[in-house]
Amino acid sequence: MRDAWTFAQLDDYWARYEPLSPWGKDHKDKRPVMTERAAIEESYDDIEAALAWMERSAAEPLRLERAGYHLRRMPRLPEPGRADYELLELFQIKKFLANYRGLLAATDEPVARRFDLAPRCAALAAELDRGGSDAETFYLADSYDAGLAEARAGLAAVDAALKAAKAEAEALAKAELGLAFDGRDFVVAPREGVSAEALERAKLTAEPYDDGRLLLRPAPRAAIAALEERREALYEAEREAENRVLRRLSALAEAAGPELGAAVRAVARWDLARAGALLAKGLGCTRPRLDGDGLELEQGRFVPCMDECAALGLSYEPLDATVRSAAALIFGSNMGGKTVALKTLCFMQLLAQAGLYVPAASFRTRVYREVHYVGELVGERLAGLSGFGFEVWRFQAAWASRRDALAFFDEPARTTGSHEAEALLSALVDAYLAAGGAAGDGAAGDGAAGDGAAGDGARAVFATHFRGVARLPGAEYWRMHGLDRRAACAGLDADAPLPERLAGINRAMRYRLEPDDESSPPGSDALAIAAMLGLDCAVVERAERYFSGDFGTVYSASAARGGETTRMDE
Amino acid sequence: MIPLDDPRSWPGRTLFAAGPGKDAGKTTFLVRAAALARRAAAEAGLKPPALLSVGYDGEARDFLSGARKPSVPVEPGDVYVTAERFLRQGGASPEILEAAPGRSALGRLCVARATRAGRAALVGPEGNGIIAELLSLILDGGLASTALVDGSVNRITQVASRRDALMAYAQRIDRGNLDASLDAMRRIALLMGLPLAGAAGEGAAPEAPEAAAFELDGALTVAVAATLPKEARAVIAGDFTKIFLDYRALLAFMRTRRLYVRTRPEFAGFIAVTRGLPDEAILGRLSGADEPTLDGRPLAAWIRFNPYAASRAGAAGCSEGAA
Repeated sequence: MRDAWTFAQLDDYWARYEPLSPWGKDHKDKRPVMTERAAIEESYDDIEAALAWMERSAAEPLRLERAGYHLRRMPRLPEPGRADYELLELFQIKKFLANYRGLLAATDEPVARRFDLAPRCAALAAELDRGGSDAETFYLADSYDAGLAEARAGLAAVDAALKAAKAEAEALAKAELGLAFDGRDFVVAPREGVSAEALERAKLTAEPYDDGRLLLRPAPRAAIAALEERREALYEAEREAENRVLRRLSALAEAAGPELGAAVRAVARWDLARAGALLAKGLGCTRPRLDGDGLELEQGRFVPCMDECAALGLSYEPLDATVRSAAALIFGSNMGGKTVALKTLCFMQLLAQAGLYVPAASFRTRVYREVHYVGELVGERLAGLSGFGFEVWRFQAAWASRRDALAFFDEPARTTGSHEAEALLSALVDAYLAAGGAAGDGAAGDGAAGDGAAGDGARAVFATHFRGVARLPGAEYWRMHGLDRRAACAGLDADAPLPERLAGINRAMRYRLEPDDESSPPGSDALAIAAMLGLDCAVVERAERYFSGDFGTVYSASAARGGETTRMDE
Repeated sequence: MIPLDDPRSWPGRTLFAAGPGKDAGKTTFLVRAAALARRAAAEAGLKPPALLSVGYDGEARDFLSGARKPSVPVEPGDVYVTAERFLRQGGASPEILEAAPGRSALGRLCVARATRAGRAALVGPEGNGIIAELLSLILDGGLASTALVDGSVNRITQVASRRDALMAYAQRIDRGNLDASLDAMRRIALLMGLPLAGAAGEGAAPEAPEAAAFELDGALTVAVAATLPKEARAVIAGDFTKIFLDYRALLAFMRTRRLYVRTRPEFAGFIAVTRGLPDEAILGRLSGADEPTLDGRPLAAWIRFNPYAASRAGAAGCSEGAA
């Protein structure tokens, strides 16, 4: 599925899908493509429930915000079922429970019921809430243990005494030597004028720093040493008390393990539903239907291409497509949109199997066990294999696992000669027709993977510009409408810069699928486009005459450029 | 007055101590700067500062061996970033405010707040991006008034690119490294004085046009400098941490080309931790007419000596000023 995912540019779209909790993000990172219809339908149901909640909460934007806020703040939890949790791990549990409560408050009863967002771990939460200056911080507070409070009270007294002793030592140094320690443990001062007697009076010790300076620090005092010794003992007592508290809280956390696990599962499921619903709402997506057999797409928007067009100031045309046969071909000229049409179908299928709504007016399909892509991917190289080698290698892999699989072939055999390519393509179509089985066509079944056809249930959609493919019974043949030459002629400025010409081609291109039959208009879009892009008009005209086979002008490409027609043999 | 002399100007900013490797005096400066920042915050009714480190170099080995535990003193309310394993050491009885993303070689990190005076082992995250996240959490999240960061130059890109960044450069100087140290300071002065290229981002006003400027993709090294097209008279680097030319090479480069940076921290001043050298030996060498200046001031005006220096008359500032 990975190649199909890449071909369909799903990662570009995936960036818009934004679960917020750690578990939601983990799910997103896995880029799951499901093959169980029940699981997929459940995901759609969840999104539907989240959309309904958004609708119910529309008048309360703060509630909507709060749900996201608490999901975003949830930390990962430590491994469950441990007997000894560290301070930081208890902090994580406390923070999770605080945000879990917040999430429950932000949602409502129908959501709580569907997603099992029930109050949990009350006893543990109450205990953890005793430590920390707010709901999300954690501290082993004095109130946890009488011994802890006692040790800390002692430490506070010792610290105060040490602080006073330090202040006294600083004052003495200032009075006797004019030295300001200013809170520092030691200072570096000029050696000059510092006598042994002055140091004695100031109760400072000195050691050489360099030739001209001394490093001075308060001399040890018995009273201070005693205080520090007392402090060490109190630290030990505090540590023992803290350990008792940690053991007690750990036992509570260990017992709450199953409940915490259930809370995490509920959060993750809600998070994914909410993210899916936001995506659906933002892009006007609809719930796919999985009870079909073919691919029925209405007004499908291939969002990565739509974004690209918007960035370039080009218009984008949604796609309508219906594929019922086990093998369907899409013909089209260069820049005619056949690859985009293929990508759109692949994109919709993968999104549907990822459990998400699709950006289309409607999409009806079924669940496939595999979705394959056969063709070249941008930038890939494999030692010893040419582009054609890659294709053959990919096809073999796809063919070996064709059972209940949907395969997308982009310009197969494009690097071979046209005659060989057409032969190969005809054979591929033939093979898929046989594998998918004519008996499978239209045998919709219940839409579950594995029951769509009497044969292998395989289906393939091909995009190609080789028109000499054998027309086989049972196969479907489509073509992109292509260039509206009249519009192109009317709208193109012969002297316009290249980007403007590209925009002109885009404006005149009709990106829609129609049956490829005898009604196809004569002439070559490729030659017309070449002319519009500035290819020498004499060359274009000659090509047109070769294309028509009788040296008669079928379509004046140079006229499309607004230029004079020049015969090379004139 | 340079920023180092005015802790009241630090709140809301990230003051980081850079320096050439370890033992440059960065941590010594940080401890002193923390004391001054605490006082300035208390006077202004603000929260205490936060203390962070990026990287731990040799200190990490000490942490790991347990032979020595370098740490900094903290006061109640100070925020700091440390490893889980050090949380309950040092006597500061910390409250955990946040778990830091990612991990360090010393395990999970967290943001903590001291509830009483003690010592804290500062441990930095491994990824430079995470330090930016932590700074955002601490400063933008209002956990502390000022962030003080201890870090070597090769790890501070993310810190230096913050809009609020203020950089102090610490340098240990003795007779043996005097010439090299002075060149290092001159180099920093040149780098801190580089003009900003256009589109500096985050609202910084460009100081120079960048038409036809050559934008460097990565670091400016001697090898890269040698292969730049001759016609590239103006060259733009991301920030000063991407410039790996020593002082002499940088001078030579700037004689023939104009060098710009996309982002630049404000310079706070030099911290010179001297031993066996009178301050005048350094100031005198940097006061010549051909010495670089920064912001219209001679380099000597930017130097503050030994954070632990005290004159007989007393010293309350970051150190006794030379300017």
